[in-house]
Amino acid sequence: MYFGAALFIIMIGIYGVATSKNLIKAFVSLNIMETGVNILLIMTGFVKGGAIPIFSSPDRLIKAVDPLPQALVLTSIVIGFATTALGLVIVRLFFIKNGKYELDDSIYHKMIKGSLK
Amino acid sequence: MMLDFMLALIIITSIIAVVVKDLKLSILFLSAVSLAASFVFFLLKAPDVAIAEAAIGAGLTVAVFFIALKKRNSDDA
Amino acid sequence: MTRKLLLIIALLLIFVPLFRVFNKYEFPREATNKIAKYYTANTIRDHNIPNMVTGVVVGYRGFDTVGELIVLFLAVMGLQAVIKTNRDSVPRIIFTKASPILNGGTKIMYPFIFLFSIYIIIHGHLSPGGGFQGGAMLATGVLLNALCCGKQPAASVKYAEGASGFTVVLLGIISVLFLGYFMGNYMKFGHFGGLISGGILSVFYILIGMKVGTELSGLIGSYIGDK
Repeated sequence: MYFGAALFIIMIGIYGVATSKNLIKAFVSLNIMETGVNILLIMTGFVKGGAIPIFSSPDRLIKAVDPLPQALVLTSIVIGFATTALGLVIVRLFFIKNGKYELDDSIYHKMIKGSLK
Repeated sequence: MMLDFMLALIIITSIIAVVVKDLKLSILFLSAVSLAASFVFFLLKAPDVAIAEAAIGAGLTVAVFFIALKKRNSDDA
Repeated sequence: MTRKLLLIIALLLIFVPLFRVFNKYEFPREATNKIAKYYTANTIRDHNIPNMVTGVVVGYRGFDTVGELIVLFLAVMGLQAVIKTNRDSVPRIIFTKASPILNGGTKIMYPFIFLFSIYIIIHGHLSPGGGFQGGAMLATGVLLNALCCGKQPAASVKYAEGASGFTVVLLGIISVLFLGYFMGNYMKFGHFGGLISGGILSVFYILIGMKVGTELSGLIGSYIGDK
C-alpha cells in the first residue's frame, strides 16, 4: 500500500505534464514526478527495526537500513534541480519570442507554417 | 501512523498543485510537497537525503521558478 | 474532455499492473539484502569512517559522483551561456528598496548560515551532511544576501570552482597508480571518529562541497544585475 502511494504521486505528475498548457506548470508537475520517484527508491531500502546508517563506535555492529539507495537519491535530487534550472531559462527564451507561456493552437500554426517554407 | 499522514498530505497537496489555475499558488504548493517529502525521508531513516531535499527542493527550486516568472526588470515579485 | 478520459484510462492501464507487482513485496522488510550486509560489515575496515552513506558515495561508488559533477557542470554552463548572450531580455534581480524585516533579518542571519554550511561540509564523514548539502546551503545564503542588499558573489568564485573540480579528478586518477581503481582510499590517517580521519576520502568530500557551493553561487550570481 505504501508503494502504491508513491506510484500514485508519479501518476499525478505524469497527468500534470500531459494536460498543462502553461509551460511553467509543466515544470512544476515534472518536479512532483521526480519527488515521487525519489520516495519510491528510498522505500525499497527500509528495514523493520533498522537504525540510521551511522556507526557510533567501531566495534559494535548495528542493523542498519540500506545505504545504497540513499546515495543514488542524493545524486538524483541535485540533477533534478540542475535540469529544472536549465529548462526554465529555455522557457524564458520561448516567452521572449512569443509573448506568453501557453502552448496554443496559434503557436502550433506558426511552427508548422515556419517549417513548410 | 505518521508516515501514512505525511504520504496523504503529499498526495492532496500535489493534486491541488496540478489543478489550480494561478501560477504562484502552484509554485507554493510545490514547496509544500518538497517540505513534506523531506519529513517522509526523515521518517524512513535517511537523514542525508532529508537535508538535501530540504536545502535544494524547498529553497533553490522555488527561487528559480519565481525568477522565471518575472515580467519586467523592476522590483516587484 | 474525452482526451482527458482517454489519458486517465491509459495511465491506469500502465500503473495498475505495476501496483500489483509492487504489492508482492512486504513494505517493512525483515532482513537486508546481501549488498547492504557487505556495506555494513566492511565500511570500517576499508574506510575507517562512521557515516556509511559517505562511504558509499565517495568510496565505493566514487565514479557515479564524478558523473554527477559533470552533469551539474554542463547544466550550469548552459544556463550561464544562455543568460549572458541574452543579457537584456532575461530578468534580473534588481533592488530599489527592501522591507526592513528582510534587511535586519539578513544582517543577523547571514553569518550563521555561512558558518553552518561550512560546518556541514567539513563534518561530512562524521554526521549526516556532506558536500552537496553544504553547497546548497551556501547558495541559499548567497541568495538571501542578494535579495536584501543586492550584493553579488565575488569574481574569483569561478577560479575556486575550476580549481577544486580539477583537483578532485586529479586525486582520483592518482589513486589508480596506488590501488588500481579510481577514487579509492589510498592514504589513511587519523583515528576513528576524529575530525581528521577518513584519509583522502574526507578531502574528496570537502573539495566536492567547495565545487558545488561555488557553482550554485555563480548560478545565483548570474541572475543579479545592476541598473
